[in-house]
Amino acid sequence: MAVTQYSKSLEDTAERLTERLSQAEAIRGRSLWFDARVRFFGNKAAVGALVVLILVIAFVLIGPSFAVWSNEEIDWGRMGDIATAGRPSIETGHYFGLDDLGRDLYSRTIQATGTSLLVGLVGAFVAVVIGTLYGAVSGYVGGWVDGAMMRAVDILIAVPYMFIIILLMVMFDRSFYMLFIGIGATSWLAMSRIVRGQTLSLRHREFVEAAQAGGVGGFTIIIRHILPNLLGVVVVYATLLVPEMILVESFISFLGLGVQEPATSLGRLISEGAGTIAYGTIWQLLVPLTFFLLTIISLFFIGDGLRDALDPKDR
Amino acid sequence: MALLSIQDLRVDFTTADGVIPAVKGLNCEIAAGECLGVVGESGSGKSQSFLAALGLLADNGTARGRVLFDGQDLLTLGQAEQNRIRGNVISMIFQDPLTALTPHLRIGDQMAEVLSQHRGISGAEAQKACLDWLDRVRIPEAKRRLRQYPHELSGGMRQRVMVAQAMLLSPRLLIADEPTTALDVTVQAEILDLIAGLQKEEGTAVALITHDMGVVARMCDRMLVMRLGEVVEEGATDAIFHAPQHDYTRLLIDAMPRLDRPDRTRPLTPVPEAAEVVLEARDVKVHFDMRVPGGLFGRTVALRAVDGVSLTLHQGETLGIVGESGCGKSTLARAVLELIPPTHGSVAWLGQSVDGLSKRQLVPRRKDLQIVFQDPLASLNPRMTISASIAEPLKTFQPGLTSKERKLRVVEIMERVGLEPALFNRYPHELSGGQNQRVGIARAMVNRPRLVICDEAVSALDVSIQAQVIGLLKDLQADLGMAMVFISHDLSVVREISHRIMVLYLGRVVELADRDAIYGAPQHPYTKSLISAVPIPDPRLERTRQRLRLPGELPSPLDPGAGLRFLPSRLASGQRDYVPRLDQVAPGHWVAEHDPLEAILAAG
Repeated sequence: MAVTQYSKSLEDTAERLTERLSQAEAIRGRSLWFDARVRFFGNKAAVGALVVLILVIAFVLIGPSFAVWSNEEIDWGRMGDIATAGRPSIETGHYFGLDDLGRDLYSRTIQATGTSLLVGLVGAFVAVVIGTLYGAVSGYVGGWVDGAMMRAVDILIAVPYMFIIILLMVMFDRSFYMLFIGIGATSWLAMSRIVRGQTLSLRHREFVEAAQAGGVGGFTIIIRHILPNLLGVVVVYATLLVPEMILVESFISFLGLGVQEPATSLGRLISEGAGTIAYGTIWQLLVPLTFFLLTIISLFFIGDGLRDALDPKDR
Repeated sequence: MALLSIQDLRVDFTTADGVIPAVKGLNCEIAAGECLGVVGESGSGKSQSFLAALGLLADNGTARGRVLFDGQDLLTLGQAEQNRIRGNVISMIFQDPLTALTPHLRIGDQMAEVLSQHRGISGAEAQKACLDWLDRVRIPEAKRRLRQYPHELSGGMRQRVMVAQAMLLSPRLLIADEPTTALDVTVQAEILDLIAGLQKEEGTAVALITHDMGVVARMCDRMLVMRLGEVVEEGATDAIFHAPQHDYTRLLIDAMPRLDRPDRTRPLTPVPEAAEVVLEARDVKVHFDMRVPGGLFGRTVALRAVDGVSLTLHQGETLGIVGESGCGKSTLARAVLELIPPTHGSVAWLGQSVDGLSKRQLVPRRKDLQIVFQDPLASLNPRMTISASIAEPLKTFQPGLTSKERKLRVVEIMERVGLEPALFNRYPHELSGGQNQRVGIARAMVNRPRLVICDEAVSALDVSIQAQVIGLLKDLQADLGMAMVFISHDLSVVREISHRIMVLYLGRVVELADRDAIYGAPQHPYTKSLISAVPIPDPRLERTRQRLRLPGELPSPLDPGAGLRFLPSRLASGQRDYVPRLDQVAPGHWVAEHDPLEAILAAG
C-alpha cells in the first residue's frame, strides 16, 4: 500500500511540477553577489570613490599619450632654475612641473602611480587570498592542525618582515617580481590571524552544524558558509592593507632595494618632494601626495561600501 | 487608589524605515499588593510599555501619555529623580539572570550597590541586609554565595539573587519581565512560588510580563492581553480564561498545549505494525573531559553528558525526549547522528551499524537523517537566501539536478511547509521566527529523510506559532512517514507530538513509556515532579493543584553522587558508582530503579 501511495504522490508531484513551472520561471534566484552589486551601486560614497579610482587608473593608462617628455629625459634648459622655470605649465609641456633633477613630473607621476597601485593591489590581493584560506582552514579544522598552523605563523611574525624582504632582494636579483614575492610572503600573516579568530567563532554556530549534519563537505563548508560571513572583516582589512603595502614599498625603495631609478613610486616621489619643500617647489610634494591620497581614500570608501554591500542585514 | 496607573501610554521607535509604533495607547492600573499579568506574544509591546514607564527605553524610543506612580507622573521626571525611584520603590527582574548580573562583581557587592546607592548603607550593615534577603529567597549557604561570582551559580540561583536584589529595598512595585522563561520547569515553579510568597508577605504589587498563559493562571488576579501594541482584553484572570471575549485571547488559550486535557490534542498517526527500525542505539555514552582546579596543573574529570542510553525508533514513530537543562538530551541527539562521536556504545542507522565509520564514509548516509535546530535564525547562514539554504542538501546529495529542477524542488517544499514562493529570495533576518523555523524544516525535509531530529525546534517560538509548527510536523509525518526524535524541555509540547516519551536525568533514562502511560501514570519521582511543575492554563485548576517538590537544586553532572539522587539508600551504603537498573513495570513501560518517595524526600 505504501508503494502505491508513494507512486501516487509521485504523480501528484509531477503534475504540480508542471503547474509550478511557469510560476517558478517568474522567480529569479538571487545570489549574495547579485544583491551585493545592487546594494553597492546604491551607495553614493562608494560609487563616487570607485569613479575616482577608475579615473586614477585611467590616468595611468591613457596619461602617457599626452606626455611631451618621457620620465627619463632631463630638461637641461630649465634644470638650473626649477623654482621658477620648472613650474607646472601647459606651454612647456611640464604639466606638473619638474622634479629636483629637471625631469618631467607628469611622466614620473604616471609611472609612480602605476607602480604603487600595482604593488598595493597585488600585495593586498596575495595577502587576502593566502591569509584568508590559511586562517579559515586553520580555524575550521582546529585541534593540532590549528596549533601547528598558527605556531608557524607565530614564528614567521617573529622574524622582522623587513629582514626577509632585504634578504630576498639581496639573494636574488632586485626585480619587481621579487618585490611582490617579498611583500606577499609577509603580509598575509596578520590576515590569517584575524580570519582564524573569526572562523573560530563561526565554527560552532548552528548553521555550520546544520551543514555538517546535512553531509556538506569540510571544504565546501569553508567556501560556502564560513568565507561569506568573513567577507566584511576581510574587505575592510584588505583596504587597510593597500596603503600599508604602498608605504612598505616606498620604504624599501628608500633603502635602495625596491624600485630602481629611473623607475619610481609614489612613496619615493613624496619623500623627494618633502626633501625639497624648502626651495619653493611645493608641487613636487603636492602632486604625488594628491594621487596618493586620492587612491587611498577612494579605496577606503570602496572597502566600506563593499562591507555594507556584502552584509544582507545592513540595508 | 491604584499604585501605578498608566494612561494612554504610547511608545514610538524612530528607525531607518520610519517611525514604528510599539505601544498604541495603553491604559492599566495596578493596586497595592496585586499581581497583574501582562500577556502577549513577541512584538506585542508588553515589555516596552513597562520599560517606558521606568524611563529605560532605547535611545530611539519616545514615550507619550502619563504613568502615575502614587500620583506622580514618571514620564515627566528628570534623570536624577528617575534614578531615585528605580530600584528603590519600583524594581525590576529581567528574563536572563546571567546577562542581568554584572559578571565581574561578586554577588554581595552587586547587591550592596543598591543599598549604598539608595540608602547610603554600606559595610557590615549592608552585608547583613543582603544575607537576610538571600536567606529569604532560600539560597543555600547564603554566606558563601556573597563572595561568589554570577557564573558560579546555577540559572535558578541567579534568578533568586535577582529577586533578592530587587526586593532589597522593599519596593512597592515589582516588575517581572519573563522572569522564568529561561529556566527549567521545576526551577520556574520555585521562583514563581517565591514571588507569590513575597507578594503576600510584603504587600508588593507585581506586574508579571509573560507569554506563558500557564504562569498567568498560577500567579495573577487580573490580566491584560496585548497584541501589536494594543490591549485586546483586560479583566479578572478567571473570567478571561473561562470566557475569553476576544478572538486573539481565545487563540492564545487554545494554542497552549495542556497537560490536563489529553482529549484536546490531535490524534497521532499510528505507527504501522512491524515497521522498519530506523534508528537503534545501544548503551550510548558521551563523556567530555573537563579540567577542574586541583593539583599543580588541574586535573581532568569526565563529565558524563550521556551515560548509557539505549533507544529504538521505528518508521513513522516519534520519540519525545524530555529533561531539564544539562540532562544530555541535545548531546544524545548529536551522538546518535554521529555529529559528536559517542565515547561508548553502538549506533545503527536503517539497520546498518555506523560504528567506526569515518566522517567521509558517513556523508552518503546522512541523506536519510536530518536535524532541525532550536534557534531558527542562528541555524541559517545569514549570507544565504533562504532558497539557497533549502537547496543545499539537494546540492550535496543530488548533484545531478539542473538548477531549474532544484529550484522547482525548493519551491515545492517551501509550499509544503507553508512558505510563500515569493519569499524565495529573502534573507533569514527578513523573516519572522516562525517563518525561519519553517525554512529549517524545509531544509531538513527536502531530501525526504527517514528520520528527523527536532532539537527544541519550537522552544524559541510564540505559542500560536508553536502550535502551527507542531501541526506542520505532524502533517509531514503523516504524509511522508518519517520517524522523529522530538527533544524539548516542555512536557506539554512533547505530549502533543510523541508516540513514546523518554525522560532523561543527568544522562540516564529514568522513565520510558507510551505517552498516555507516562502522563497518566508516571512511576518515577522525577517524572512526577516534572509533570507537576508544569503550569496549567486554567486558574481554578492551577491554584488547587498539589505540587510534588523534590528537595535541593538541580545537581551538576560533575557531582559524582548526583546520579543517585533517587537512590539515597545506595548512596548511604557507599555505592557511589551504582548504576540504577531499568525495570519493565508494564509492557513498553520502563522505569529506573528508585527508592520510595518518602525516603527521597527525607534524604533531601
